Amino acid sequence: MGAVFPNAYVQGFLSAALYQGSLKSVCSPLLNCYACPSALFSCPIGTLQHFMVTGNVPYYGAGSLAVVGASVGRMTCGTLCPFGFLQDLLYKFRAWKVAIPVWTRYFRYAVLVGLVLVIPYLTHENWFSKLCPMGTLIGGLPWVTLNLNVRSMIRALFWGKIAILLFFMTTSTMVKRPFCRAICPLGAVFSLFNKSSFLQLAWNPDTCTRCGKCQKICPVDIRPDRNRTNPDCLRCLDCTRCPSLKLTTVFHKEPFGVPSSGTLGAGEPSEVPAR
Amino acid sequence: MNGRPIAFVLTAAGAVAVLVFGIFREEIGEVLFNAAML
Repeated sequence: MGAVFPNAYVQGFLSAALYQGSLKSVCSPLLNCYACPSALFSCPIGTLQHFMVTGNVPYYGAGSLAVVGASVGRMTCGTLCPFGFLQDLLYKFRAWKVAIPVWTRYFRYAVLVGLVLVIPYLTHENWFSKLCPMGTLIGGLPWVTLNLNVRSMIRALFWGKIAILLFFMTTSTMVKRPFCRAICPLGAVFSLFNKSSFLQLAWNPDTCTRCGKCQKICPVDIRPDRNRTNPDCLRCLDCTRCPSLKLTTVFHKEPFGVPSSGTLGAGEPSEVPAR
Repeated sequence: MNGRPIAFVLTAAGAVAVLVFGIFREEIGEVLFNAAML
């Protein structure tokens, strides 16, 4: 649904013209390139960069993302993002599987500050958009296919973008969501809100056996029973297949009912012994 | 856990304030212009 609805302007492919209606004023909370011929909404990262390039503070773009983040945290990454969905599909391929170190998560904050905010402000160029693999996949490649003039403008940068896209598509077959975890600046913005968002993940220590199955099915390889507000958590809700985890709201004090005596209160992860 | 509802209310209020300020500065027109210039 996340891949289809924001790209529902199919006419764009037929007429080789971008949609320029009023919906383009809305920043979709997804990594979805607004240069895609069928894109209905604006890319939030492209919008942030545009304001930095012109030397302005992006209040509207930042506010749009903050409202979504305060409501659902990173849930749009886990449920709607088309590039995340593509990475999930690629990981299903039978390939050599590896885990990436936890510290790689900090790269995405560096990408947000560096490639999206500071470098565009200093160089007046949208550097993240120039290199974005999602932009190459649904923006660059369709335009190169549809338009002869665009094809004649291909330079070394385009082949660099293709190499970046191929790199992430290849690594996605081996690593769970490498782009979302290590690079995505949109995920970096939303992950700042995971601790204080309206929707929260609740964990029941009374029924949890610490079997670790939640980590096996987690698309970003985390243990929600150890930290329910992990900034890496995409709120995809795959782990809520386990009855010890469920979606709740920040105002719900006892989502699993009143805990039995002698146990932890509704899931304080810091008190859970590591296995 | 107890501070989380307060954190949410403050975060949501700040987010809405930033968004409304952006709309007040007519940044929507700038976003549309940027999308049209692609």
